[in-house]
Amino acid sequence: MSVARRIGSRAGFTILELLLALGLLAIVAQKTFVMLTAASKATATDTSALVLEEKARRVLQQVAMTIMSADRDSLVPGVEAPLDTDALRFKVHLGVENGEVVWSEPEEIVQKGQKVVWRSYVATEKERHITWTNLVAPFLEGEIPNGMDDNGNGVIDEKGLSFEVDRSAVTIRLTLAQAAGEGDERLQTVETVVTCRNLQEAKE
Amino acid sequence: MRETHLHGRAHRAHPGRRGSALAMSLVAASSVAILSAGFLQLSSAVTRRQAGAIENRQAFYMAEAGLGEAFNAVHIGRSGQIGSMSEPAAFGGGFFWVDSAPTPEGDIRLECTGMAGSGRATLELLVTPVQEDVALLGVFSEEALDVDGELLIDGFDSQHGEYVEQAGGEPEPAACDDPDECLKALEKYELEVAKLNADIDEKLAKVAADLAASLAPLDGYLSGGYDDDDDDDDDDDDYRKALEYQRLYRAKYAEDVAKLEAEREKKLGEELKSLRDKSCDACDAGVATAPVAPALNGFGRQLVDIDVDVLRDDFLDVQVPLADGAEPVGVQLDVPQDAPSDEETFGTHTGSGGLLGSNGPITLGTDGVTQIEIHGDVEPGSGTDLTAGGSVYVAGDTDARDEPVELPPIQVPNVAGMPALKHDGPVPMVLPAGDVGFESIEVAENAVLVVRGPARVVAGSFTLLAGAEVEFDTTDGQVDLFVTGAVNMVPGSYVETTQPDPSQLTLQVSGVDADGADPSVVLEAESQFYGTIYSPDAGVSVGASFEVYGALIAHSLDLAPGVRLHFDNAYSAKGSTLPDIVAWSVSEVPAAVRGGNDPMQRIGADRGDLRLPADAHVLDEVLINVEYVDDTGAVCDFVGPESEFDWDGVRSVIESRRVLIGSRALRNEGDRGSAAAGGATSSMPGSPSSPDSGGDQNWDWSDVDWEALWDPWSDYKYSQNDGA
Repeated sequence: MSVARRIGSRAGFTILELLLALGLLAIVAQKTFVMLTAASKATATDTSALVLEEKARRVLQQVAMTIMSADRDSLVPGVEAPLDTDALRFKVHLGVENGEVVWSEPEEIVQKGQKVVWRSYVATEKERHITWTNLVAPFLEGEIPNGMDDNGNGVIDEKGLSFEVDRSAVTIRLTLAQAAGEGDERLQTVETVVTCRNLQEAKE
Repeated sequence: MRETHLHGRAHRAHPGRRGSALAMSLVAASSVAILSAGFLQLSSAVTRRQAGAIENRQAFYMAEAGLGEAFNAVHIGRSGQIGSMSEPAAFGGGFFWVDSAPTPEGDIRLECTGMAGSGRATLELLVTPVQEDVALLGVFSEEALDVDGELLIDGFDSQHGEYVEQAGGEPEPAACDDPDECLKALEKYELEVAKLNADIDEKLAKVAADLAASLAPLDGYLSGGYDDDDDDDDDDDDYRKALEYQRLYRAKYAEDVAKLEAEREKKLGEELKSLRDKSCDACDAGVATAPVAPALNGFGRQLVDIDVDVLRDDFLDVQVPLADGAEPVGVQLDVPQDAPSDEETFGTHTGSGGLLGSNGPITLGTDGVTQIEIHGDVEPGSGTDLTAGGSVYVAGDTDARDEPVELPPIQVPNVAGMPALKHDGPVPMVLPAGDVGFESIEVAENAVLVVRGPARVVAGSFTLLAGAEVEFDTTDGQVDLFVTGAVNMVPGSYVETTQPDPSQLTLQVSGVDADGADPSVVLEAESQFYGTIYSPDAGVSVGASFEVYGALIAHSLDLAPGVRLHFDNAYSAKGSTLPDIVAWSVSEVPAAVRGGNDPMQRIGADRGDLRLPADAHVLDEVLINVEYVDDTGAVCDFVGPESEFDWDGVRSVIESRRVLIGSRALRNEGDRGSAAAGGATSSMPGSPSSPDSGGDQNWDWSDVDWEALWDPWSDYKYSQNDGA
């Protein structure tokens, strides 16, 4: 009986063992936490960057496809480098009726604050608009409003959405900005050149 | 016993602590698994979205490539239909098909759907097959063309300098230093020339009158005719004598005329030369180098022509020689002849490049004496011939056209209409650049109207009275004058063009001649007109003083004796044969192919069975007329149904036409667009092929009335020749 009780009292760990074990566990846990936090942060950063890039490309694609369908002669304003515009008005081909090409009422793609907005039936009672994104940077990446071409793309003080027209070709530049925590900002810039496929004079 | 006790205690651990380690392990493992699954899903979603975006872009490029292939097909005269929804063309890592449908307006609607992975894109292109520039017709009459007066047609190339340089003439002289002296000298010279001409003309008229008086008594002998079979030999003898006298009188007349013309030339070249040399080259250029006596070209020639007609009508069967080198009427010209006129008749010319055509037969100078020179090709209408007299010279081919030419209607611009413009003031009136329309335009005597390009001017009618002048200033741009009614430029009026570039000026008349009425377009002004004259529904009367450099296309042509027309060969170099792109747009993807990652599974086709785009062009149930160069370099023709034509043997297409006549009537309504069920945008009403027809295999050719379809080609043929 006493032997069993003695044996039972000896079961368990000494305080030293426990302290040692707890210490090791704390170190491992802390390291694991740090590692997981870093991995999570990195993953979140990558994912966020990917998502932002995807968003930028999607918006750019929408803008590009719309401009491609536009009538070149209807582009307003038709500015060329070093001038640009953050709003482009145009008409798109709707179809053919009685042998005549039917063109839409004026449409517009414009930067309004942090938004890229597509407007149809511009300046009419039926005007409606759709926001394609609300992440547009005030100015294109690398550009500050100082009357100079800071980012070396040939255009001065261009906005986050920038159109540059060269005959039938339209250069579209877009910078999206997203908060990255701790006051940081993540920027994603995309650019493409498209050609207006329609010319009203071709039918006339 | 002790160990047994210990073991016994271990098995009897506290029930609440049993399996806790396993549970903790499971919780930990589950957490890790859930975290991993979350990351994996997130990563997959991102990857999938990126892949989807890439495949959508690939599909877009597929559709663009398909439209490009179809566009080129339309360019060479094919329908543009490539593959079908059930049997698309394989291209790169994806597929596409193109539906082609003609519109009532003559355009072609191409709709291409591209598929790549999960990506889908449908694009639509509306194109207008380019019509051959009507200016390429040269001098053309839609109706039969009959020319009895002197005529010169040659060609030049405005891109290679002015006509006078290409004709071997002297270039434009430098400006005059002392116009007053020159004018005095010129006036004196012209006075002397006028006196000389009047003297010679009087003598010529007398000779012609003598000839007429000599021939008149012979009419009684000649009117009885010649009959070798009857018994009246006296009458026949008288007839032969009369003929002999007639020939003698005509020979005497020709001899006298030659003497008088030689006298004129001698005095002009020697006695009056010193007078002329006193004027400078610039002023001298305005003086005719060889003044022609009006009386000779009118009175004298008319008398001779009357007699020639009598001889021709009555004695053709005895082969009486009509004139030196003349041939009987109705005999086709063997070309090229080797007897072009000397320069005295028409002055210098380029000797090549001319083009005269018609949708009907062409008859030239059948009287045998009228000097007509065509330094180039003559193209009578399909199924007709050229008939020419012995004094007609044609340098090029005289083959009939393969098919009639359809003159397209004029698209008169819709410009703001203004009241009638009647200018009769002494100050020149300038119509500035831009578009303007008038109820009518009339320029009175001594008034000058300047039309400054670039401009489009529309007028209900256009009239130049004697002494009036209109100047087309194309220095800064093209001028297009549209007249919806009559054009009347009377003799003594003047038309000037500032630039020697015919492509910068067009006179387009959309008016229509009343039945049996005279041509409503009268061009008898003094002019060296550099431009294109196009009057598809009204006849055009051209005076000898109206010299055209460019092209002249009309419903009918009435050419005065002495007309000179110079076809600008630069038209062929300037015209683009690419179809015009009317509109491009993004369309809705057909519902039948939306969704799914595997396009082949979606459309139920086998990837191995698909053809490349070049092999997937649908041979439509249309008639085609193709002139092409085959693999061996030989120029070949094909006329017939496209399904019988092997496009693989074509290296390049020179010219092609396709006729969709009857294709809609042949179509089975039930087949049309059946594969596009549910796809609002994929149904192609009026398409030459239903989207899933895969060519002509679904057609029953046995019911086709080919005879009805051959029109406007009267002769259906499948011919190949190796002639270059």
